[in-house]
Amino acid sequence: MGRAIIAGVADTPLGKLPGKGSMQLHLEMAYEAATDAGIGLQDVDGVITLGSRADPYSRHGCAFAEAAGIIGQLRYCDTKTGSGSSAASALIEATDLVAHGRCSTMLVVAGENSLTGVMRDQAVANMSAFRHKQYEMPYGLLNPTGYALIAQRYQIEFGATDEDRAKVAVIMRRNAMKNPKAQFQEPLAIDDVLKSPVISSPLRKLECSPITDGGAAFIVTNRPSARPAVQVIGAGRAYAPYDHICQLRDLDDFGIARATKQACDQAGLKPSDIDLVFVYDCYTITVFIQLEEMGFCGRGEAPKLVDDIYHGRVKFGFNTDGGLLSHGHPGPPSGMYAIIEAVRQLRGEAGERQRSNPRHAIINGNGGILSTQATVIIERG
Amino acid sequence: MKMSEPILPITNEDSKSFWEAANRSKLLYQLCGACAKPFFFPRSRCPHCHSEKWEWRESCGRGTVYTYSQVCRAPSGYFKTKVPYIVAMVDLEEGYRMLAKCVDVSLGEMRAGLPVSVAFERLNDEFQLPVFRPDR
Repeated sequence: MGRAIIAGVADTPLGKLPGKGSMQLHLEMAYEAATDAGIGLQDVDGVITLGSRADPYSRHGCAFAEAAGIIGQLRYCDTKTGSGSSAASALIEATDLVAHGRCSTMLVVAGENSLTGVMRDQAVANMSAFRHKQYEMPYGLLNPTGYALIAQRYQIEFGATDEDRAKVAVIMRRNAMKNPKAQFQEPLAIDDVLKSPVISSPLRKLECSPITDGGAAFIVTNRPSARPAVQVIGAGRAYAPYDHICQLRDLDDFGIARATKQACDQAGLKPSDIDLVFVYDCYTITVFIQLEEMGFCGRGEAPKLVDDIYHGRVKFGFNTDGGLLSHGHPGPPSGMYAIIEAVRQLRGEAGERQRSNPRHAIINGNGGILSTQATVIIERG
Repeated sequence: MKMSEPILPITNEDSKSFWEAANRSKLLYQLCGACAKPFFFPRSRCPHCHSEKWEWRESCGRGTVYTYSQVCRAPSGYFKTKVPYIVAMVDLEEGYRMLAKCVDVSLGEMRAGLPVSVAFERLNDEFQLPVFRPDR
């Protein structure tokens, strides 16, 4: 296996980026990530995009590569559609393609103007249309309703409270306050979360990640780099025993444990060896499920662990960029930000939120309604 | 599709019998003849053993609530006059689970294990939607 390092990263500020189309965001990020890696777009021979709801091209990767003027030089060009797991899954695939010599420099890029490019009602309707056409949509499920059904069951089984989940939102906000690119940087208290309107019970507005504009990209290459080499040392993908929430069975297997075990076994590490932990916090409840299945605590114990994180009683850094809840959630690009933040932390370039000399980061991306999972462990060499 | 109209199921060979029965106020499910397990939603092979030797059965329509949520913001225009409403996952007596709306019940009355029975909500001449009502 050859060398494959994450050599360049780029991200826009998240929030309103009026006037910028999805494709423009892709191109800006691609150029910036290549520059960060010390190369040019002419050096890229593989592309993975994560699709776009604003520009739903059936060959989205090729549409981007055409716009970028690089399509003719590519040896691989495709698009990932696993929602929240797609960025981590693309990192795994880019690493595999480079390590096996099928490509020398992969560009993974995403961008979406979910906030200013699509009307809010349309964005909500778009997400609601992901539901099953016959056995879910006629009942009027919101995107949050799927997570709400899991959150309610979690309360039933483990006696967790609304306040337990609200702490997750506050943790993310504190981190986002140190991230100048975050969409939300004003202070947030548990009470603010509990007083925000219910969207789909028990989930409240401030437990749901915001609709955002944003773009992001990274480069995986076998070229030498002047920067500290950061690379994938363990990876796994897995899937829950359902895709549509109407097929949910129990809360004991969302596939995260299986994906994480593959990643930890490959890396030869256990959760307690990890310095930085990133989970896909599209809603507060997903954090509970991910922390438990990734092995940071037992089933039903996430509220206690979240309380420990809230009070600063853990050693690892946790969603240090502010997560989807406060950094922002532009849609297809959202899983990119954990990877980019992890790379910056491992390189020592995270500014005010820099953790002390981290070596290993673990990232879980989950898509669908906690149904598609990709976990990666990355290391500073 | 007009925003003010209900979202209708799109029927196909997999689901035609289910929706035709629902229109006659009957709740159907599939029972596998090979592995004897029930399954829902309708499909052409058993998801447990992949056999195509299944048959339609009529459910007694009784079950208990597994989990639930009250939807407070409308996903699209039609639902704007309907919010808030409660959806639940219901474990039917025959051993399968389905998602549906719960009617004639408040959020405060909802709980895991609440006994419910199927009822039908008419959408138009062709479609009735299975919903659940708590047993009183």
